[in-house]
Amino acid sequence: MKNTLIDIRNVYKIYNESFENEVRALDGVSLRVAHGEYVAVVGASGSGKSTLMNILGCLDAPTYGEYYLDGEQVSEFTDAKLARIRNRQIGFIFQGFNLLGGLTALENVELPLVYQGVHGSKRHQMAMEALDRVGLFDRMEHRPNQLSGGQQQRVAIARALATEPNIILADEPTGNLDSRTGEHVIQILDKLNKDGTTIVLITHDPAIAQVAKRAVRILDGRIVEDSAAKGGAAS
Amino acid sequence: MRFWQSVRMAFQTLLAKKVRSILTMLGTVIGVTAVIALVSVTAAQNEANRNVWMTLSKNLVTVNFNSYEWQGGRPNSEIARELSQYLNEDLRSLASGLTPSAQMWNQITWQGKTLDLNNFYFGSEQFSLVNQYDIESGRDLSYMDIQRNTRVAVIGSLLRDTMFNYKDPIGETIYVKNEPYTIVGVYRATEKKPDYYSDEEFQRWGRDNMIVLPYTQARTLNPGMEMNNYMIKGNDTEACLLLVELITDFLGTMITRFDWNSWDWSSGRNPDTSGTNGDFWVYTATEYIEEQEQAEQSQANTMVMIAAISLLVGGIGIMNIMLVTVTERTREIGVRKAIGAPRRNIITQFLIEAAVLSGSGGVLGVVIGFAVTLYWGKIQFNIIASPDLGVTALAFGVSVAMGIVFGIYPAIKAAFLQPVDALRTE
Repeated sequence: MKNTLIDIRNVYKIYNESFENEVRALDGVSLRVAHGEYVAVVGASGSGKSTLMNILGCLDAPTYGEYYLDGEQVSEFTDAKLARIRNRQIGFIFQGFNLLGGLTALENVELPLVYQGVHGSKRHQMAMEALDRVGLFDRMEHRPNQLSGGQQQRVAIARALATEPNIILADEPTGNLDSRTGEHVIQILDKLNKDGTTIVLITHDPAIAQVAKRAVRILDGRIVEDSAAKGGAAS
Repeated sequence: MRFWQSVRMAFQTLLAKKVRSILTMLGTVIGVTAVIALVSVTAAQNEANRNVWMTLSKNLVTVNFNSYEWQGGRPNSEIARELSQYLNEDLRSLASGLTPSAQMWNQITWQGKTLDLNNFYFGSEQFSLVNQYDIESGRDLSYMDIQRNTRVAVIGSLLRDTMFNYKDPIGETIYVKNEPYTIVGVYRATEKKPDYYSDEEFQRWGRDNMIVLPYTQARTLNPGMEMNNYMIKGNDTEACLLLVELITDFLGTMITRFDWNSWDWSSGRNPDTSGTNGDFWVYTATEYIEEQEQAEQSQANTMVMIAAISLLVGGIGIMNIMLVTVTERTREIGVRKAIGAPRRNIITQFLIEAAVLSGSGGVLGVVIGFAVTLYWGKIQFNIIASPDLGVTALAFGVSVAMGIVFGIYPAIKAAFLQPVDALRTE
């Protein structure tokens, strides 16, 4: 596999290890994702797919196993480095949008740029471009509670895009949306992938997983099916 | 402008929860108000007190002696002459002014009108310097008046008001024991009528209801009278203490006085004064005044300490509410971390919020503190108390610092939240 971006090897996430109530959220998962791939991780609720995304997004650390991101081992990063990775390499899209209610759409999109240290008009420019890409240029002064669910999710996508990350991690991005708006969001993701962004999409909906070029099925913390391994499409 | 964005967001958060914010600020508001009002009013009150009695007796040394000639003591006139010479020649460098002085009760008459006067003085041309009187009209006593034994008098402003009905008394002749004296000057008022005096009482007891004649006239009015009282204006506290010591030693060579320190008051017997031939008394209030000033200062400090406790309580209140805020906004913190906020950024954000909270309380406290200072000073002490700007700046600074100090723990707590746990919170 050329240009490996994400490479996790034999990763475990175990809660209450060696107690009676031990839970293995991830039970020996290995996964490689190349630059520019579009991967859907499909699984039922409680299968471990959200834990996998948190580890991929550097929001959580695995109990065992190794995670190489763009060739570097994540477990060796300091908190400041992790913050920088989350800021520049990864864009998150959440099921619940997670916009800050006190800020306008534009300010929400600007926030990761603020943390990146981009100033003034350049930051404005970048944030406005990101909003434009999701078709919300005319809503940038609105606050989240003045926007519909679909619009809020598009603002969240713009926020994820603003720093031009290598990877977009989307956790059930359509879960809180009706099917038509959900479709719109999926189209945007599809377009982003065509523009070269790597996307890892987490969903329980097999129909949405169809859109992705590669589907990984996860069950009880283990990968039970990988369309890349079967069809070899993404290698 | 990340900083100003944080400040703006902090204000938004405050305004979104008005009642909570105001209750949280209350401790800081009360603390700042109390510090400003207490310090300012106490300072103004002390200033007023000082105006009444401190300047009058500051750096003043009073000497009084009485030789008992019937017990073999030297004549008072002789002691007076030697003391005068000692003061004028040997101790001159320690003092800025010196006057023999005598205060007595006398009647004065003007155009058939007679007035009892408690503040009837004899003094030298330095009487006004020592007692801090200023000439308002006419002229002061002069050296020549003393030397030539002129029949002149200078009066206080209150005596002019009462006896001469506010008219210009200069050139008028008054009679004391049928001896004529010409009024040559009037001293400016040194005090205002205190509230506890009626007009009548004030005219009778007021300091400015006074007259001073050249001390060389004392014998004319009271044959055989000796000037056995001196008032000396020392240069400073040290000079006053030295003057007391030197004059005590000097008089001790001429008068053998009873040593009251050696006498046991509880014995119930009369002191045995045989072998003594007089008594003298040398006194300065300077030390006492300094002690008073120090006592006032420590009193003020104590009050500020008490007020500062309120600031501390306010700070704890802020910490409490900031902890609540961190809990309430765990999810927001998670989002911020997910999109790349480093720890120090989260810390700064919460510190700014705490500082804005306490700083707003501080501003409110300054405003209320100014109002209380003016109102309290007016109704309680009838003085214009101006707020102490140094203390205002300090109290405000401390209130902001309190917010930051007590905001540190909640801010660190927020910054060290695990992003995944924070995001999972609903």
